[in-house]
Order: sequence, then C-alpha cells, then structure tokens
Amino acid sequence: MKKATLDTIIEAANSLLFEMSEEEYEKTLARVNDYLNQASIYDRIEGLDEAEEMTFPFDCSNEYLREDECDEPLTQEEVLSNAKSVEKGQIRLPKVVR
Amino acid sequence: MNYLDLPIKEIHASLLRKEVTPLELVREAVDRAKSNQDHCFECILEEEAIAFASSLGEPEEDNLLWGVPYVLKDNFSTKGLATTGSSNILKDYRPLFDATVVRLLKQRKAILIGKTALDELGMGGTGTTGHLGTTYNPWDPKHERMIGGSSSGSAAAVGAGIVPFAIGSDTGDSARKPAAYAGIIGVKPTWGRISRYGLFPFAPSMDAVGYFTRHVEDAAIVLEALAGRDDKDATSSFENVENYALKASLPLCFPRIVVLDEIVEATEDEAIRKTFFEAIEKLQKQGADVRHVHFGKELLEAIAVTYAILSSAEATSNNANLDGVKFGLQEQGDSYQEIMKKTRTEGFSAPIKTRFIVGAVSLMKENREQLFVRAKKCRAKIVERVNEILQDADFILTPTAPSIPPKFEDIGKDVPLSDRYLPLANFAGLPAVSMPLGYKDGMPFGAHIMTRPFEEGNLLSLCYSIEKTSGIYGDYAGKEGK
Repeated sequence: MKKATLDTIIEAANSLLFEMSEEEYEKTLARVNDYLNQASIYDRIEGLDEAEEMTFPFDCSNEYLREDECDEPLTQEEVLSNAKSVEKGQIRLPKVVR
Repeated sequence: MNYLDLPIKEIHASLLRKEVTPLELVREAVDRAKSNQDHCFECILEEEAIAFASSLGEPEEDNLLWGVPYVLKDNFSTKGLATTGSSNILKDYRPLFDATVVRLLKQRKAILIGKTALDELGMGGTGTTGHLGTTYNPWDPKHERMIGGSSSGSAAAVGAGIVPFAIGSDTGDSARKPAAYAGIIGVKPTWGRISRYGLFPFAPSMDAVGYFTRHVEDAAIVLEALAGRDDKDATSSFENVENYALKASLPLCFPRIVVLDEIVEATEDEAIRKTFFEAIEKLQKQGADVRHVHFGKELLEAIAVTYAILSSAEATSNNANLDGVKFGLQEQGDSYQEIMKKTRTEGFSAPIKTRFIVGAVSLMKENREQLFVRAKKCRAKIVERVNEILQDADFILTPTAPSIPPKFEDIGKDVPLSDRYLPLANFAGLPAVSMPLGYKDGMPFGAHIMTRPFEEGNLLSLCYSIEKTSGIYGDYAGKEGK
C-alpha cells in the first residue's frame, strides 16, 4: 500500500471539518502509516481476499410493522433546548446567502 | 455495617428488614464518592439521588435492585442531566430522553448517584483522555498505574467500593480490561443482548452495553434487569432472557474449556501464568475438560489493525453529527461551515481527531478496498476461526491482560499479543467476562472467558466456579483486610 502523505491527512481533516496543529498532523501521519504497515498482514492470511466481508457479527433481521400508537411527542421548546441560539422556533445561524 | 460492601441480594434483604434505608445507602455511596481521590466522576448527582431515594415507598420484595445505588458511564443519555461523553464537544448537552438501560434501572428503583468519567467518547483504553483528566486506579494510591478504559470511572467506582455495580460500555475491551485492572467483574454480553438505545454510538457493529460488579451473582441480577428486546434498538435481540441468577448457581457438567496457546505464550508474567494455570487445574478437578488450541498467530496479530480500521471508520461516521449547531459546544463563525469547523477543532481532542482521520483515510476511494474492505474480510476470517473453536468447546479461557495495570509512563510502548486480542469477542458478538483472578505486588489481574452467543447463563456459571476457587469475593481497594 502507498504511504500516506501530509496532504492526505490534511485532506481528511478538512473533510471532517476540523483542523490540527502541525505537530498533531505529523503525529497522525505517523499513526496512519503505522496502520498501513500493519495492514500488510492481510497479505499473509490465507483465503482472506476470498472471504465475504463481515459487517455485523451475526444476522439480526427485524421485519415487522409496529403498532400505530401515538407516543408523547417532544415540545418545540424541548427540541430546541440544547441549541445555543434560537429565534422564532428555529435554530439561528449566520446568513447563508449574503 | 458497610451495607454497600454486601452482594446485592444481602443489601436487598437488609432493606426488606429495614436495617438500612435507600437514603442511608445513597448518603454512604455519595460520601464514598466525594472522598474518593481517583477522579471517577464527571458529576456526582447527590441532590437527584437523595430526592429519588426519599421518594421510594415500601421495599419491593421481588425487586433485588430496589434502593441499590449505582453509577453510569457518561456516554449514556440521561434526560435533563448533563451527558458529555467526557468530551468538550458536548459541553452543556442535556439529552431529552433516558437511555433504555437508565429507564430500566429507574423502573427497578435502582438509584443513580453519579455519571462516571471515560476515555473521550468511549474511544481509548487508558482512562487518560477524558476532558476532565486522568482517572486513577484505586489499588494504586501513588497514582502511577492506569485503570484502563474506556469505562475508566465506572470500573474505578466499583473497584473503590463506592457502589455495588456500575454501567459501562465495551466496543473493543472497554469493560473487560478496566475490570481486570480494577480487580472486579466486567461483563460484555452478547451483541444485541442489552439495548443500546441512548448509548453514544462508537462502532455499532461492535458496541455493547457492559457493566461491573464485585460478585458473580450480582452480574446475573444486573443482566436479568437489563437484557431483552427493545423496539427502540433495532439490533436488540428477541432471544429469551433466562433466569441468569439461577443458571449461574448451577454447576456445569464437564464444561469443555479451550486455552489459546498463543495468548498464554505471550503472557510472560510468571505470577499471572502460575495463577492462571492453578485456576485451570482447579477447574479440571471439578470436571472441566481443558484443551490447548492454536488459534492462528496471523489472525490474532491482525486483530489490532482490523479493530483500528473498522472502529475508526464507524466512529468517523457516527460522530459526524457533532457539529456545534443543534447541541453541545458552539464556537462563533461567520458561516455555518466556520461554526462547524471551529467547534469540531476546539471540541475534539487530538487523539479523537487522529482516530477520525484513520477512519476517513480507510474509507477514501483509493484506500477503501485495501483497508476497509480487507479489514471486514479479516473480521470474517477471525470470527470463522473462533466459531470453529466453539463448535467443539464451550468456553475460551485466557488471561485478560499480560500484566498488572501498567504504569502511565509505559503508555505508547509496544504491547504483546496478549494485550490486544480482546476485540475478538466484539468482532464475533460473543458474551465475555473478565473475572478477578489474583494479585501481584498489591495490584489485581484477571481471567477472560468467552462463549457462544446468548449463552450468558452458562458463562456466569463458569464464572461462579472461578469465583469460588479464586477466593476473591467482593474485594475492592481499601476494603478492610485488602
């Protein structure tokens, strides 16, 4: 596998909407490349590439229709209670269209 | 009489006989919490606990958890109470609902006395990355050794004798490893056995509600209270909830136990090896059939990187909603994008950002096949092997960790295979327990047992045998005689 570069790390951070210090980017780069090295073990596991990908440990199917029972809904006030800036029943953010 | 030191059944009996009241238990637990120096807590809920204890009427004869204090890892939603995940990004966040386990324990009239510290957002194994600082090991008054994580505060609280049980979570080993380091019982049930509704998701294909007790019977009692189908968690199982306390008390007939050679070979500490093999001998004398099995070194070696890739990829996605807009920390900005970026920059610690980046890199188009897809295939191969072993055996028994709790100065150093294999149980969704096994230099160590999915009854029965033979029963740091 190709080694990651600092650009890869910065690109990933940007896509995740955060920034790091120079030192933190370098440490993260080292960590990512360490994992890329460790991942070379996959080349040594017999039958790995023929195996089916596992997403969940076992099947858990849930196919049913719940009863149409009305629960107590949250009030608008409750829903907005954790937002920092609320106006006229909506969360207030800076204007998108200038 | 230190009622909080008793097994839950005896606490309950004392409450029924009115020898003690829930209020007295709460006051005692809160006093212990306040005088504890190990930084177990995000917050102690003294007022709320006293109010709830005061509201309880007559003791309920058939409800063993009635009036029993407990603590809860702060990655479980509690309605109206601050829930931070030990992260700055969730500053001031108060959930609008209770997690299912919280609701169930409330229904049982168990009394929540505090929310415990964790490695940030459940991601970590040292107990050092929570936003309020390090949680210490109650067995080490010098504060040189870790409690482990991520359920650091919950493990420390039970290990310090503050409460009889605590709720945590386990995605890679986050209940079991700190349990071993705290000298207590740490349970990770089958994936889907306990509802995860209201538990902050880290890697949902592996996440499980975990918990801690000091007696095996207590572990059975707590499991009975929490297990079962919950329509709010689509992955929760419809499997029958057994009478675990009864099952745990029944001896097993000739259990077939397998010991993984590679893990034992990678455990070099002589005291741990000696105690481990002595425990096996005792189980054999009771009729256990013990075999040694070779798992496959490459598969075991691959566990760590597979866990890193899969858990980071899932974590990246599951924490994308922490954006400073709807709840939690909000930094200022001229646009919503700037608000999000500044909030996530300030709110997440560097280790968490590193994990998210590992996840994002694994999922990038150019890497996805080689990293993420191969990791999923490797998980399948590992699970195939463990299920193969469990076709001809009932339990897999190994030391939980290769050493007593490590010192903080050793964090970051290379660790042997026997220190990084526990995610095996999470990959396969297996129920697993860490049992206290012994002490070296005054510090505890444990044994790890896994079995087939939904066989918690048999698992706890074996744990009960280990408890009887180890002689470790209800110990905690600072208990008289300890």
